[in-house]
Amino acid sequence: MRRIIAEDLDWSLATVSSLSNLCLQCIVNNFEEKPIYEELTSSEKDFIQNRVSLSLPLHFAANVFPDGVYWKRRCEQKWKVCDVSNYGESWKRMFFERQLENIIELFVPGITEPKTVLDMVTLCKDHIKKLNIAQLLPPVKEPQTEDEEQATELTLENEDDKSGMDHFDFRILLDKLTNLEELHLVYKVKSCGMNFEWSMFEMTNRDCESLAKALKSCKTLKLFRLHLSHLEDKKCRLLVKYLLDHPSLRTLDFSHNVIGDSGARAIGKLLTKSKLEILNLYDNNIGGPGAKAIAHALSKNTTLVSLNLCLNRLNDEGGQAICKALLNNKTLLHLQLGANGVTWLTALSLSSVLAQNNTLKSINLSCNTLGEVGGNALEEAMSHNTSVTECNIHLTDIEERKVSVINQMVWNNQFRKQETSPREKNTENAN
Amino acid sequence: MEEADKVHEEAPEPPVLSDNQEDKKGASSFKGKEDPTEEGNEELKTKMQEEKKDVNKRIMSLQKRLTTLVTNIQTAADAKEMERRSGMEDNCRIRDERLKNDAKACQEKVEEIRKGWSIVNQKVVHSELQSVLDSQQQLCAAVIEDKKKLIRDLQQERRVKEDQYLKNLRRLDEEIKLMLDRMQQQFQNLSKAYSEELTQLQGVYQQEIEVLLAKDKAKLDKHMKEHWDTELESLMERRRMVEESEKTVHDVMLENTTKIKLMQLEENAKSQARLREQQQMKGKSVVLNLKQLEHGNKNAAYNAKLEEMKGKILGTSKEVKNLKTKYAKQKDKFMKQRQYLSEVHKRSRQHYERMQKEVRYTTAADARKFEEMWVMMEEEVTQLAEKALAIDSLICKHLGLAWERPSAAFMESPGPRRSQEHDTNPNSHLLQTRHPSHCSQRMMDASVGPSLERDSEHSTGVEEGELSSETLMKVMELLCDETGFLVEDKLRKLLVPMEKNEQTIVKLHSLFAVLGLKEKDLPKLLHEFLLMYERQQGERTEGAEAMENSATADSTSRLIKPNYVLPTLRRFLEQHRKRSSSHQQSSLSHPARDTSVEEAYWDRLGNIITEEKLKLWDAAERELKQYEEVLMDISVLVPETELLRQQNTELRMQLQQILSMLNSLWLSAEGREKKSRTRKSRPSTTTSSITQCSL
Repeated sequence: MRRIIAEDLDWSLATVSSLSNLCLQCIVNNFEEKPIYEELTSSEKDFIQNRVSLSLPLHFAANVFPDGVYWKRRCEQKWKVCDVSNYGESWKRMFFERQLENIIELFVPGITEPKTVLDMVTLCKDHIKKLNIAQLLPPVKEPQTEDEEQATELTLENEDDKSGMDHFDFRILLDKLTNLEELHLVYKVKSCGMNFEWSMFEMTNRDCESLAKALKSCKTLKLFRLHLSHLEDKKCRLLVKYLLDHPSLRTLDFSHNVIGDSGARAIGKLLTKSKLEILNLYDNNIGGPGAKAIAHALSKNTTLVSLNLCLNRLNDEGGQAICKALLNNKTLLHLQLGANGVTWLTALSLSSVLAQNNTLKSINLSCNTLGEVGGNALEEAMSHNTSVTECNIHLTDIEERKVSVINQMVWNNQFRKQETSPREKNTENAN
Repeated sequence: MEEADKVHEEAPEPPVLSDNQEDKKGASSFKGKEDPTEEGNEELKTKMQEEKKDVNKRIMSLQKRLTTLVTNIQTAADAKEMERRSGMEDNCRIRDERLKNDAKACQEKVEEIRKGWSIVNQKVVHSELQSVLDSQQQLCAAVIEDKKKLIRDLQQERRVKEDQYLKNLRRLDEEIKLMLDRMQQQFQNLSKAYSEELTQLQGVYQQEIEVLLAKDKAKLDKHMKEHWDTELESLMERRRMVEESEKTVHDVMLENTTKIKLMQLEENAKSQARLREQQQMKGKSVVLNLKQLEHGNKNAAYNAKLEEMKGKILGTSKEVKNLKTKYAKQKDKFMKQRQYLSEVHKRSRQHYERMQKEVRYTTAADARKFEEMWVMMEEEVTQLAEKALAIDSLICKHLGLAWERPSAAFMESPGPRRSQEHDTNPNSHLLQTRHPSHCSQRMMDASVGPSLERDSEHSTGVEEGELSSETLMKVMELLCDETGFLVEDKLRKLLVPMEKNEQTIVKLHSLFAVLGLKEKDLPKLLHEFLLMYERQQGERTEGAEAMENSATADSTSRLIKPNYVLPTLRRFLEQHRKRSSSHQQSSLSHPARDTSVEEAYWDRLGNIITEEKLKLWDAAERELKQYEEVLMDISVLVPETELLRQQNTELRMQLQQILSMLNSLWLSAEGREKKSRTRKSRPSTTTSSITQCSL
């Protein structure tokens, strides 16, 4: 003992790792050749997950390691910001989802082999629940250019060739992801810079068709969001046609598109047929007739909880139709009609709804010129209502005093609800 | 845009308000924290709930304010979008109108030009044509000018729009920056509020915890104190106990040491005494020696002797030790030997017993054998006698004398031994009694008589004793009184309080013990006395008449004289002693044989053939011998006759053969038969005589 210490000044007992640790280290070093994992204890598994090389081939690691430290390490190695709470606290899910998103976002039709996606899908099909695709690249005509910027540059030149502008075909992907629940899509190109071209921010007809078929094939999808993609009436109708009988879709988001009245009519039909709970048509081009169609569907619907029609062109025609439909609807909780150019007429009909409907919770009428009459009517209605806890009437030309009165009433409602809800909870617990 | 700005301006206000509120709340909460220790748990709880409510309210308002801010921004953006849209629509409309106007104007001008062209066609004159062309050209130029102007205007407009767009972008950028700043601020505000809330809550909880802790601590202290008190008490008690026990232990030790010391002292004293004795002895011897050596060299001798004596003492002490050890050894050895010897003794005793048993058995067996022998001999002898008698009778018969059987009864009777046996066996005795025999009867009388007599006497005595128990009692009393000198004084004293009967019984017991008698001898003794009493009666018959008048009650005193008591007792004792000794002898040795009887018996058997008879027998023998000689002669002749007879039979056979063969010779054969018959008659007589002789 003494001799050893004399020879090695840094020697100390603490640095001598135990035999088991050495064995585990050995396993770690030769993990790729001889993976020993399942037969170990949990602490030993942790040891291995903490130390095993991150450069292990994915197809190998995906089958060996369950969700845990290893995937955390891989995620943190790959991305700076990792918020696991958005992925159901599962590092593995996060890794695979983001990996697949990356692959799809960098997929260049015609150049990238679809096999790369399919390989990845075979590995991760059980783990993916949500796909948030922030860009979809258009194809490249000339094969010599490979990087993204050049590709977009080249597409500029070939803008006339519409048939060649198809994006990634989702049909090869969606029917294989058996656990997919959310799909966020944007047909756009990120940071295109001076190569801007409108066609970059559109989807083609064939894209639309393939996407619609893909969506139909994905039976587990609950949320579909297609925004900022210049969705027109025609394409909207096509998509809706394929979504009509979807068994699980609950949320549909077509915000920031250019859907007009005919698209709205199609969506109204969808409302009557499906079990949608949240419909978001924010920032579209829906006018009075489209709103009427939606209102007609709304008066019969019993599943929709939230309806967002902000930034459309409903005007009083559509607004009144929607409000009349609400007289027959007892399920809608959130209604947004902001910035729709409605006037006191709509306010009047809405106040008649508020006076007798006690299911609505939040209303948004901002950026509408309601005027004094509308303000009075709303004040009157709110004094009878107890359910509304949010009411946005900013910039509606109502007197400040009345706005504050209405706000106070809403505040009281909210507070009452806050107080009752824990009591209810308590009683429930007591029972 | 202005509205949006307004919103932006409005935005910073709420935090201030909230800050004020927070300050207020903080103050209230601080107020609430001052006296929580004195109040109970419930109050604390209610306070906590209120606090929570407050907190909730505040947080909610804060959140709402913040969300409203966000929604305000969004609504502002929406409004802007709306404005933009309306502006765009207006612009489009204006542009459209303008384009329409322009197109209309253009149309008019084009019409004009067209008209001009028709005029041109009409005009042939060059100058006119020239002027018309000029005007046309002017018109075209005007149109072009208009178009150019329009284009310029549009371009201008576009440029303006571009500038506007740029500005817009820049403003948006600024706004975004502002918004970011605001968000940052909001974030900070919120976090600040949260942190304040947190600290407050922490403070409250801290205080609560402190209160609880203080309470618990007090409780704990109390409990600990109690516990320590009890522990201390128990410790004190234990200490006391320990001290007590130590004391007792000390005392015990002291006692023990003193005892040991005392014992040691005693031992020392003893040893010293012994030493002293020894020394005295030594001194005596020394003195003696000194006296002896007084004449010689006193001092030297004394010294030498002293040393010698010392050595001797040592030697003796050693010797004593050796002897002691030897003694111990010897003792052990003797003990062992004793044990061994005792074992040997036991064994030998057992052996002896076995031997005795054997001897007894052998003696019994011998006796049996002897008796069997005797019986056999007797039988043999009687048989011999019978034989002799038979022979005698034969001889007598032969001689033609009248033979008398001498005392047949005696012959038939068994010997004395057998008769004794029969006597012990009652069944055989019964059988024996059927054949009356004088001899045996007599012998029996001789042998058994005395004992039978004694028995009968006994029985009569006993009967008498039983019958007159009163007299017996009296006799006993008398005996006790007369032999009172033999009873001890102590016993007598003890017997004073007892009843008379018991006294007599006890006295008798003691007396018997003294005299060496047993209780079963009592009847005998009494019988003796009664015998004596009878004798006395016999003596006294003459004087009975005179005594009749005296008191009848005192019969014993009248019947037995007290003076006779002692001599009779002595006599009885002597008799008893003799009897007991004889009895013992008889019990040990075999019953003595009555030799005289047997002698007589044997003599009689021996003399069963008298002298006269012997003489007669001698004479008869002599006669018979002579007759034998004659017979011998005859016997010599017999074979000859046999031979002859044989010849005769052979001849007869031949004759018969001849007869059978020759019937004619019948008569001659008859004659021959007569001859043979005569010959036959003679030998038959001789044989009969011989048989007579043999008999």
